[in-house]
Amino acid sequence: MHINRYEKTWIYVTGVLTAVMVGVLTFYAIANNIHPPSNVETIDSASLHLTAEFAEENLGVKTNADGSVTVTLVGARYGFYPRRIEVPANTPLKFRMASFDVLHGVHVPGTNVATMVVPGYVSEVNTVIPTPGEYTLFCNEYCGLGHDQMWSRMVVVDNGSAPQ
Amino acid sequence: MRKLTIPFAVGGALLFSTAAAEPSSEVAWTPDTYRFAQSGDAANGKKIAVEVCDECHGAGGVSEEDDFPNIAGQLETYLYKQLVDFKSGKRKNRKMRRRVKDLNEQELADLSAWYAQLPAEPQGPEAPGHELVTRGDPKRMITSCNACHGADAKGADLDVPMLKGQPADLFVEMMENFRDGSRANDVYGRMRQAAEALSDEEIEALARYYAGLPVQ
Ligand code: HEC
Ligand code: HEC
Ligand SMILES: [Cu+2]
Repeated sequence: MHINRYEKTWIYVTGVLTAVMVGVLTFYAIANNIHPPSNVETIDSASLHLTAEFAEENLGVKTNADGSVTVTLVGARYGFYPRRIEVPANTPLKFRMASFDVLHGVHVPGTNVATMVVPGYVSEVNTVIPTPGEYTLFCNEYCGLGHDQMWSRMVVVDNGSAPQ
Repeated sequence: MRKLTIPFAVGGALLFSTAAAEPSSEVAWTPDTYRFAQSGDAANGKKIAVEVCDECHGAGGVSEEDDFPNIAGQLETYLYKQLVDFKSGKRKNRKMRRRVKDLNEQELADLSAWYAQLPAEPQGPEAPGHELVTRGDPKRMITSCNACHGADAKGADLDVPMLKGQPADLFVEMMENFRDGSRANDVYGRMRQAAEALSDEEIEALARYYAGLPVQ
C-alpha cells in the first residue's frame, strides 16, 4: 500500500508527540509520587456531623502519639471545613476527608495532595510537605453554583525541621 | 377709623396679590446662567462644604442620617438652582437658608461643582453589599452569599434559606447572632464563618440590600 510521504511524516510526528506526553505524565506521576487513593471506607454523608470523627468540634489538625499529624476535613458546599488549617512541615500528614453533600475533589497545588471526596466514602491521603508556606485547597469536581469559590487555606509552618 | 381701614384693606390686598404674582424662582436658564452654573470651582466648593455643609450632608454628600437628602452626584444645574432658591427664600428651609444666605453666587456654583462630581449613593450593582452578595471577599475568606443562598437569594438545597424580604432590623440581628455564635445551628459553621468576617457596616449594607430585593 502506498502512503504519501507527507502523510507518513505526520503519522511519525503524532506518534512521537504521544510518546513524549505519556512519558511526561509517567515521569511526574513517579517523581511527585502521585497515586490513586488506596483507602476504601464508607460513611453516611447525610449524618456526617453526627459521627464522632467528623463532628464539627473534632475537625482540624491533631498530633498523634508518634509525632505524625492527622487532618480531618469535611468538604461541604462551599468550602473544606475548617477553612484554615496549620500543619507542620516535614511531618507525616494523614488527611481524612469526607463530603457532607455532593461529590467534591481536593487538589493542593505545590503538593501531591489530589483526591476525589465522594459522598459515602472517607478519602485518605498520606503525604509530607517539605516547603513551608501558604497553600490552597481547591475543589476540582464541579459541585454546584459556588464551586468556583470552594477553596480553603492550609498554612505549612516551618518547625525547624526543614533541611538547611 | 372706618376711613382708615379701607385703604389699609386695599393696600393689604394689593400687597398680597403682588406676593402671589411673584415668580416661583428667580433662576432663569438663560445661556449665561446655564454656563455660570456649570463653571464652578469644585476645589473651592470643597473648602466651603467642609466648613459648612458636611455637618448635615455628610463628608461625601451622603448623610448617615435620614433627615438630610443625599446631594452627591446630583445634577450640577439642579444643585445651583436649589442653593439660589434657598438663599432667596423661594425654597423655604430655615436650616438651609442660614447656611447659604451669606454665600455669593460664585460660591454657590462652586458648591454645586463639588457635589455634582461626587459619586452618588450607589443603587443596584454599585450598592454597598452587592460585591459581598455576588463575589464575596476572597482575601477575608468570605464566600459570596449567592454561592450558597442561590443566585437570586431564593435559597438552595437543602438547608440554605431564602433571604429576600426579611425586615432589615431582623436581618441585622440574625447576622449578629451568627457572628457572635449565639446562633450556631448551621452545620459545620458554614454561615457563622461567613458572618464572622463581616463588619457592622457591611451587615447593615447587606440588610438594606436584601430588604430592597423584590420578593417574587
Ligand atoms: C443644619 C443642617 C444643614 C446644613 C449645615 C446644610 N444643609 Fe442642605 N439641607 C438640609 C436639609 C434639612 C435639607 C432638606 C430641605 C427640605 O426638605 O426642603 C437640605 C437640602 C439641601 C439641598 C436640596 C437637595 C434636594 O435634593 O433638593 C441642597 C442642594 C443642599 N441642602 C445643599 C447644602 C449645601 C451646599 C450646604 C453647605 C453650604 C448645606 N446644604 C448645608 C440641612 C442642612
Ligand atoms: C457556605 C455557605 C453559606 C454562605 C457563603 C452564606 N450562607 Fe447564609 N446560611 C447558610 C446556611 C447553611 C444557613 C442556614 C443555617 C441553618 O441550618 O440554620 C444560612 C442562614 C442564613 C441566614 C438566616 C436566615 C433565616 O431566615 O434564619 C441569613 C440571614 C444568612 N444566611 C445570610 C447570609 C449572607 C448575608 C451571606 C453573605 C455574606 C451568607 N449568608 C453567606 C450558608 C451560607
Ligand atoms: Cu466542591
